[in-house]
Amino acid sequence: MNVKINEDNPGNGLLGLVIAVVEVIVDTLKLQAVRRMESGKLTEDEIERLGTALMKLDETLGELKESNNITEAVERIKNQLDDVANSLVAEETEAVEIA
Amino acid sequence: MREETPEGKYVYCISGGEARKHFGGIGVCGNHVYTISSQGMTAVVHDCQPTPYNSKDLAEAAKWLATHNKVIELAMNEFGATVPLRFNTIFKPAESTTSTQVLAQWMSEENNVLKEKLRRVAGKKEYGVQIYCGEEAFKGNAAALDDLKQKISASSPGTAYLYRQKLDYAVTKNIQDTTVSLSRKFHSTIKENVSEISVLKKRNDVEGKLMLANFACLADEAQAEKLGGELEKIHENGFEVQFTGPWPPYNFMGTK
Repeated sequence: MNVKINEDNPGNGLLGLVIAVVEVIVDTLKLQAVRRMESGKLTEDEIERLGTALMKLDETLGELKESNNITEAVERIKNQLDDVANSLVAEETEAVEIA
Repeated sequence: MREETPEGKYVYCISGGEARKHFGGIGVCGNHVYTISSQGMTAVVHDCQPTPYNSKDLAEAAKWLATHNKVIELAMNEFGATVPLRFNTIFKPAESTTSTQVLAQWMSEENNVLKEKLRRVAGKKEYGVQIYCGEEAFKGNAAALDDLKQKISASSPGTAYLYRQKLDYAVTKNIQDTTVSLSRKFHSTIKENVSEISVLKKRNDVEGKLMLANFACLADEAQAEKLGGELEKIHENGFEVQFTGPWPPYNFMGTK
């Protein structure tokens, strides 16, 4: 696995990597939240609170990226992480899809 | 035994039959390309140091790769069926054996495997087929998602946010499902028209476009013409088609 971070500014590079990983976790949380909402086990109030908390988390991450000027770097790292994950499963999946 | 200088052999490809030919300074870094034959096989090579070519300059590396393929193309035109080797395939001298002898020994040991590979690609060439469609083509398809859109506009911010996520998932799933079914359809159509087809990983490298299919096809001339006709039909149905080649048959060197 090879994920590149900015060599000229390792502090920002590391922050970018951390935020990229946090975003991946937040994405998973969102998926779980939608599933819980659909399960019918949450009250309207709970759904609203859950949605608001995730929305604020999104906004905070957005602000952090903007103020540190690392929006593009985070996107790049996430794409690299995607590539790593895809390369692990893609060929297998494609073979099944076509079969 | 006297060692050659420089002592490595950079090998581009292997063709059937024995031939002596000097191609001139057309190799990677302008090296002189020539042939070494043994056991009914001909390797297209240049002399090099026994260390891999390495560059941090992407443009330079891309140029080397293009040159590598160009030499293989010439060999294909000259000798017919050809087993392309990867960039940076270098034979090094072993103890008291020159790199030429190491290469000849390898061609002898791998003779049956190489012959089988040459048989497989004889009279055929590899073509690349990529089929794309614009992302907007899927958005119009999302009428069934109107219900979610209504919920978004009718809900308070937190709940609307979750519905927006749900809408994103639904749109993504819609795209994935459609991509898979179209990809299968293209695969079965194209398969009918070529000798072999290999499914390659889809890349999303063109902004605003979705790659629906990425195939390598092994085809003789008549098949390539028919394939062109089929792709024309796919294009007429509103898809963007990239048809490239002929390429060295890299994707048909593994097991079937």
